[in-house]
Amino acid sequence: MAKTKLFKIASPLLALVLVLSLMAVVAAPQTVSADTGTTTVTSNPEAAIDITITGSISNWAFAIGSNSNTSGVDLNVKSNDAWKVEVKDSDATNTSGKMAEYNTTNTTYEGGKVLQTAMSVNTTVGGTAVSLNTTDQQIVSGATNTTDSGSNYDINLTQSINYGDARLTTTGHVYRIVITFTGSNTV
Amino acid sequence: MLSAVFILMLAFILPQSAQAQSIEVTPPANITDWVFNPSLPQPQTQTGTCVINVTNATDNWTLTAQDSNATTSGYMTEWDGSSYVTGGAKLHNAMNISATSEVMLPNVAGTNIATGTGNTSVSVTFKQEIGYNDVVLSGGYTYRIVVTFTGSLTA
Repeated sequence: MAKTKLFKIASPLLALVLVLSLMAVVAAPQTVSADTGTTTVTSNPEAAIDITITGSISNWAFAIGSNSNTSGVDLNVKSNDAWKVEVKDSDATNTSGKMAEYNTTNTTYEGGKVLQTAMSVNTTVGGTAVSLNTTDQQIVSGATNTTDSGSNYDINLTQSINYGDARLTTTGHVYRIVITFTGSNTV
Repeated sequence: MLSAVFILMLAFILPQSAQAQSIEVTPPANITDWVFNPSLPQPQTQTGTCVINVTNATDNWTLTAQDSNATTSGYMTEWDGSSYVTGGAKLHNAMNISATSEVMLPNVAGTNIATGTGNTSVSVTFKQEIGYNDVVLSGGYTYRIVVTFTGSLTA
């Protein structure tokens, strides 16, 4: 009799304990101590080129015949793809590829004398020398990318002098020309 | 006696519920067709946001960035659209990931890029140095890397 009563009292409590225990197992939040996610990055470099011209030639002493200078002007080319470098004389008014009389005091072309032969340009690694004019002409190229520091070239400038090229006697007057180098990717 | 058992059960259940913690990491959005150019200032950068969500405002966390792929191992690698090209090109410099501190991928050691408490949005910068020696890819191929961000709860 006493056992039966105890069972009747205990039964609801045991059921409650059982339910709460299940809740503890089922409903208790799980601990997530770490989580990951990924980001995908894609790219392709644009074709790019950078050329640097260093040096210039002052008071180049011409002699009759062919005069060459390979140490005055240097070219550095950095490119991440196929490339070429071209040269031209951008001054169609005064020089057009031929050195012309220049007043270093007034910094203007004046006097009217012009050398008879256009200047030739190439690099010391070879390639056909181009005779300067006002259009771009290729002097060197590469089929692939350069190193990060670039490729270096000595520029070979050649000027032919004849007896018909007058010696300048006016103080401050010299023959002068400005060469424009242009680098571009060839893709 | 049974009441005592009941109270003990509650005492066991309630603290267990309060101690539960979780962390969820939403990584920065994918970066597609990032325009690299070696003539621009280096390194080139892209910025994204990594969102950290934790259960409790007092939960402390750390965030790491890693490259877990042995093929790339921190370096963007030639990708044909579906897989990395065997023997393909790689950029010459590894990618760096920066938040409050900066790591260089692959960051195998799992050095943190940020730590914090509670829900936070972390500004993440992807840094990539590009040189003229990094060849332009043709045929629709690209350089690719997958960065894994891991948020971990700490004591």
